[in-house]
Amino acid sequence: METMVETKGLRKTFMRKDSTPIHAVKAVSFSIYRGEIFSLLGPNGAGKTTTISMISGLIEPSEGDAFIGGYSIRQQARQAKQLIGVVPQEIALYPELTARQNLWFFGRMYSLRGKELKMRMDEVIEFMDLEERQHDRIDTFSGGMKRRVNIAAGLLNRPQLIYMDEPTAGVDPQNRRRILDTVFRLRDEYQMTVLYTTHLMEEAEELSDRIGIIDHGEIIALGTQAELTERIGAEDRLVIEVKRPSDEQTLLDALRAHPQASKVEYQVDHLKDIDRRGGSAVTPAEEAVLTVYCQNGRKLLAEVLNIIEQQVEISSIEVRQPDLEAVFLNLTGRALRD
Amino acid sequence: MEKILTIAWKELYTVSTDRVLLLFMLGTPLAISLIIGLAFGSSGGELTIGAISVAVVNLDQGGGEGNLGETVASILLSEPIARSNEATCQLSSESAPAEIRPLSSFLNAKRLDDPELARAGVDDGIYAAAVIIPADFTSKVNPPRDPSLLEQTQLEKTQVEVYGSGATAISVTIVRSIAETVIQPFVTASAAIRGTVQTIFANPLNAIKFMSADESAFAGFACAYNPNLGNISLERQALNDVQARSAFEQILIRFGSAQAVFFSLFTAWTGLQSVYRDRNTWVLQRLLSSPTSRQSILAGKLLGVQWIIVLQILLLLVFLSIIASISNGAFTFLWGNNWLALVMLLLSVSLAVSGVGVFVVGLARTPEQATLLGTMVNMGLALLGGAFGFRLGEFSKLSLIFWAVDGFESLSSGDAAIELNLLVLLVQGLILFSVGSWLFNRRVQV
Ligand SMILES: Nc1ncnc2c1ncn2[C@@H]1O[C@H](COP(=O)(O)OP(=O)(O)OP(=O)(O)O)[C@@H](O)[C@H]1O
Ligand SMILES: [Mg+2]
Repeated sequence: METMVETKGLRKTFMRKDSTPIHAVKAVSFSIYRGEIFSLLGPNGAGKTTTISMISGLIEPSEGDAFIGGYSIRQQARQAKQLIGVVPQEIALYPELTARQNLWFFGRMYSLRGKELKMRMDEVIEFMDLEERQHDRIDTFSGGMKRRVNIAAGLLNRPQLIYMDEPTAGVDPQNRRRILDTVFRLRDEYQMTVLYTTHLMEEAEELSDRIGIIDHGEIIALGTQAELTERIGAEDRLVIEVKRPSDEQTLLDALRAHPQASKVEYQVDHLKDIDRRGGSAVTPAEEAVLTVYCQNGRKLLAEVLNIIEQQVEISSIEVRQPDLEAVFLNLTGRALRD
Repeated sequence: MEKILTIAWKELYTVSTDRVLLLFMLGTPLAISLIIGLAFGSSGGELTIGAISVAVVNLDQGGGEGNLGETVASILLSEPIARSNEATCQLSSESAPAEIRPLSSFLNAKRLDDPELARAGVDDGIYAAAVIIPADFTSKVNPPRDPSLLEQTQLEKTQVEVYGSGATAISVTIVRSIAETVIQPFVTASAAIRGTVQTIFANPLNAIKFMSADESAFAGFACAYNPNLGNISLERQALNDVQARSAFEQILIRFGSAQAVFFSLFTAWTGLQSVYRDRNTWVLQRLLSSPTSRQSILAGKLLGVQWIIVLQILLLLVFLSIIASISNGAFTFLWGNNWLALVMLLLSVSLAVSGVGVFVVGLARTPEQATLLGTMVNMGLALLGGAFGFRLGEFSKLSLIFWAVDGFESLSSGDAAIELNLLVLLVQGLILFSVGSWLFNRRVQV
């Protein structure tokens, strides 16, 4: 497979006012293949935007380099920049100009002009479905509309590679769907390579050909979703909410005795309890959550339920297959959310 | 190069679509010049106005910052104002020349306590008009001191009433103009903060709040306008040609051109401040990740601001001439007939003005600092250079406004010997512009 982007030991260290360093990105190396959708998945502050900013030539890496279509972003910035389109995390548009005027302006910044520019503008306006509002000022647009113009502006130069930094932030489900479909169309109809960042597991799962999980400025895992879940040997999880049993130990022992249950976790749901009573005193909870790890959750379900039902009342059951959330949890010991 | 022009063009276009900003850039300096011209330009001209009897009622109950209503009333009544800046006021009144017309010669103002009595007096023809300052004046126009809160505060309207009857319509108009003149300086000072221009135009009285926001910064400005101290002085030029002009025209020339340069100073740094907005909205980042160099972006911005300033001053000069033409009932071009010299003066003034702007924004580290520094620099230059109606002797030569106004006055009197003015403005402009650009370069980084 042909490589579109290659980063070699990219590192960015910011200095705080008191001159203590912030290691935003620590020696990141990865490749993105031509024609794939590659997601950088990571929580807020993981270093996604900083990484993208470096490989779009916006900020100078403290160390390392990135190559876009073979051009070094440090040595051959101009050539590299011709190949890329950027959709920043913010709405990077002039609010006082119309959608069309914005596109004209940014088109000019790619040295487009005359008929060619007009054609490109019409093209992206149609692609992002903006015909109706193209002559309206950006500051009259809804959040979703602004996002679409924001994307359109990144497509004007017909880039081979497009960076999209959380393009669905603050967008309603309908517009989000539209944007995700757009990403697929860019790959499938225009053979573009897409570098997509998000902190939403669902988006990364749905869109990506490959995913890089980034945390604290490091890529901690990289591959297809299947590879990632396989690599950590993630198991299915049976998550069962129960009324709190009087004899916890017996129940746990019984579950742990099952040959296919590799691990059983037990958690008393204090939070819920506090919540319900509206007070702050930590009183004994009435509910608990059991998590049973096993290879094939669906098969084991009946047997596990049988064991539990003999001892305690069940409130809810869920079979969770390994997902990126589990991968992240497994690698960092933290949940991806919050 | 095309990219630079595109960026410059975009800057110009943005300003041209911003009606509130245009009103500030063009309307306010013209209004000030016109009002001052009408109020003080009558001594030698046809527009002689007898003293108008006015009742002034201050109902203002004051607030944490004192009683702003009382300040306004005192000015109208030509009473001394109780302020903390006596020193500044004394200093400036020393230079007051003989030929001034105090406000008391226009207004025969009398203080009353009862608004009803005042209105009745107007109805009975005792007074031509009554100015009634409402009880909530200070409290309504007095915003929180914290500038960050200021943005969010929903300012409430308050209304100073100018009560008049149909029989005295002209006098009422004059009284209203004068009342507005008293308030106008506060508008000018505050409008420095571009983001609040809108609020100010919604209700000019709100502008007084800035007085209390940083009293020391504006104190000199307020007292500069206190006609009681004779600061608004307009001495006659000894030159023959100028002698031929009416007092009204002279005021348009000297005061008008000073206002034009003064207001263009605001344009200079507020225009460049937009780089901060561009960075926050990531427009700057989008530009930088396109194949456009930082130098081009910088040059485009500077060029755009330069165009805007040239156009602003040019339009103001034209409008001032139109006002003079209307007043004379015949075409009157105020700025002489040496076109080449006029164009050169215009360009070098613009360069000096934008130099100040680039320098201010380059030197400041944050947009807030730029606003503060810019306001102070502009006020200082205006105070020194005569934009407030008086000059501080030799010190005024420190201000580009002096050199600009002096140049315009020379040209309008048919004297083309403005080489020194051009030289001073150009050298100052070039120095500030290059040092400023070098400093400003850092602001175009992310
Ligand atoms: N210009 C800067 N100066 C100092 N620190 C910075 C700067 N830019 C980013 N950082 C820090 O670097 C780290 C990574 O930030 P980055 O914006 O890349 O995260 P992110 O993954 O894009 O997060 P989000 O999902 O919130 O957009 C954060 O701790 C951030 O505070
Ligand atoms: Mg980010």
